[in-house]
Amino acid sequence: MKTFALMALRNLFRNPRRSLSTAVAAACGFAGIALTIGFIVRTSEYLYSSSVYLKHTGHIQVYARGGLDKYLSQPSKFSLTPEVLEKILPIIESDSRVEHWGKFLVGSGLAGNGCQSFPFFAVASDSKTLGWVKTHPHVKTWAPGLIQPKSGVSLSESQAPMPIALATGLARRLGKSLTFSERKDSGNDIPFDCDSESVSSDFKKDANVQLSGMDFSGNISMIDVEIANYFTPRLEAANNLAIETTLPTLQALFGTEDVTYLAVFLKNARDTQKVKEKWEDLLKKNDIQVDLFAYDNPEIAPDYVNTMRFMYTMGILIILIVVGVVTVGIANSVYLNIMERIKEMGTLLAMGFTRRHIRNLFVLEAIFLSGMASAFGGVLALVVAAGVNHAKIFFDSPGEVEPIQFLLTPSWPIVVGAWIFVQVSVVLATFWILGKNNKSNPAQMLSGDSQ
Amino acid sequence: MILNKVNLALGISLYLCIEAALIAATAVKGADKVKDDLPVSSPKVSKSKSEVQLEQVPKDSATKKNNLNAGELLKESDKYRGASVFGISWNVAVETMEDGEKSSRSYSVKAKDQNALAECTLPARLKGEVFLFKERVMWFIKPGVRKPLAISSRQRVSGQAATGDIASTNYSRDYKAKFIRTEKIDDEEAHLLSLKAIAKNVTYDGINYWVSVKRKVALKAEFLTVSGEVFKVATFVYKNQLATAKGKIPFVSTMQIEDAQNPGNITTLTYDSPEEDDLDNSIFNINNIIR
Repeated sequence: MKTFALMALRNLFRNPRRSLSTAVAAACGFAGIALTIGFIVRTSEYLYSSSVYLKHTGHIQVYARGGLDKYLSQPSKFSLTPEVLEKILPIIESDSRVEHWGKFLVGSGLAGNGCQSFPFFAVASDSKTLGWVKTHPHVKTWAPGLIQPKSGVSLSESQAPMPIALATGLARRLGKSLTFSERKDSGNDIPFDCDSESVSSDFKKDANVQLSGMDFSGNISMIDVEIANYFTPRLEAANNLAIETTLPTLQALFGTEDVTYLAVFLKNARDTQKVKEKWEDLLKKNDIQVDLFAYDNPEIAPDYVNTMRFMYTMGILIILIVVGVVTVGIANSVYLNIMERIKEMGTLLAMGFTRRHIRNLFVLEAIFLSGMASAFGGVLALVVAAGVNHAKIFFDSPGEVEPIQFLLTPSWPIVVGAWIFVQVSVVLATFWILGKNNKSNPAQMLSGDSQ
Repeated sequence: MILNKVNLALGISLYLCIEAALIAATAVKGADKVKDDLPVSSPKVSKSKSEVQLEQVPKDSATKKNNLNAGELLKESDKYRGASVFGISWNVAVETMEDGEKSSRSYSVKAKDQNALAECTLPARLKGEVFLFKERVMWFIKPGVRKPLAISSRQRVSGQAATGDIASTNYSRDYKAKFIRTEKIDDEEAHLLSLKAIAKNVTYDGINYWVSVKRKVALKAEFLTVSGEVFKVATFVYKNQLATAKGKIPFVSTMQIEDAQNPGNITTLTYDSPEEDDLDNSIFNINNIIR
């Protein structure tokens, strides 16, 4: 075998230009595969961080039966009451696969500055959970740009009685830029003169906001809140609406002790389906009427799930095309070698080599060529990825508030899988090309004829 | 959905109170004496697509004979939901039935010119909450909250605080009227007017509006979505009488609004004690209310 390997290597250098050009093409193709995978992985992890942690879906969401669809229209009927939570939480807390869980209340209404008001959509949880998701290692690794408050302190650190984090877009609409910790007096208790020229500067000096909405009894409710910090949500659509606040604040606005859903964060996302099925059984046995949803359910995270479906489809298509081109390129080189070396094949047969020996020789040549080219392509991908990542290239993505850094993070297990796929494709192509050419009799081969 | 609908009911009550007063204060100078103050029974309401294909219906001869200006008729009908050049006050009770759930509220309303003030009187936990209407903006003032909340017409259309212009009765200000035909609404001859929005920030692009030929009071209104679907249907009853300097005129006593998509969901506004009142403009100053 060693002899065949040496012969195969030597044969690659018999036509160095052809081997080099084929190898370079294959290397570039393979680097393309690695980088495409790198882009998909980066996008996937970024969206996963955003969806599971920063949009507070968790890996499993627990809603009151029908709550996912009907909570916003009939919150009092489709929320989780303290009594139901008391039954659910022991099941969640006793599972060692759970990393963290949090109660979430959501709702909408109008946020006002004393003169104008704008619609808002608020998400509330306990300060610990809101802080926990922003310091999770996955978020820090993959979406660090999304967790830095633009100014102010976190909700848990704020001294305000009813603190909120205000999205920068909504803050701009309300004319707000001050936080509760920066204010110099106790706030303006007198309504502004909305027609005066100085009203804009009055807004800026005031960290106080009024939130209004329909409470769970169907009455218009309104509370005073104070701005603890400003933040930028990922999506532009949310930037003009988003408010994060503490659970007691939003519960005060909506006049309830209920919550909209429980978000459960698992240590390992791969356990999601198993955990969900187990809990569904347990909850059913205990006659607890709730719905459980996994983080990759399109109803829970449509942007994440649908974007990734598109990315995976496109990625697979690109990879198949590139693998096909690489395989055809190498197969073409093998074919030319066979055509040029048909007399040599006859000679080898006359010397006592078997057809199997000859086939193995050509297969080894193809594997060496594609293997080395792919290895070089992998190194090339690493260099390109490092260069791109170091260059800190940002691009605007439709719907995103902030530019996203163009990062390439090849997943080496997947790249190795692609490498194996290329090798198998090349071997099969070589077998196919050799086919009839390796079946001619030695005399014909020696005369230069092939079938 | 329930919240929106309950909110809608609230908005309806407020708007009815206020718009009626505004109409009265701005449009009415001399009210015709009304001989016939019999209540108008509720006509059957349409549940789906507008029953009137407006563009296809030619003006009939009855309308031409009457030789009435549609705008004037609209103004005339508006004034029977309010009548005071100085100011007007009344009480209104709002009962809402939504998906089998009933809720009720009461307001004391004061209105003058373009301004109106509605203070919640019942239930007790909402007592003291005030809605001030000034130039198409509704202000919500809640005791204990530092500043009032401004809710524009557009915001009342969408979101949790949506009330929209669905109950707006000041149609002569907001809509351009066009005669369509004359037809019977519960055995009473009525002009059907097609109202098209003049202002951009009104809730509906169109309203089908039936005005009694004889009494000149509005009998029925269909509020249309942009696509021409009937969204809500309102019917009016005029059992109240309002004493004005020129005599008594009918005043709306009940307005019933039915959700065309959810026929069981009905909001009923019951008006009582309407009276002319010489109101000071300062009561509509938001700073005075807050202080």
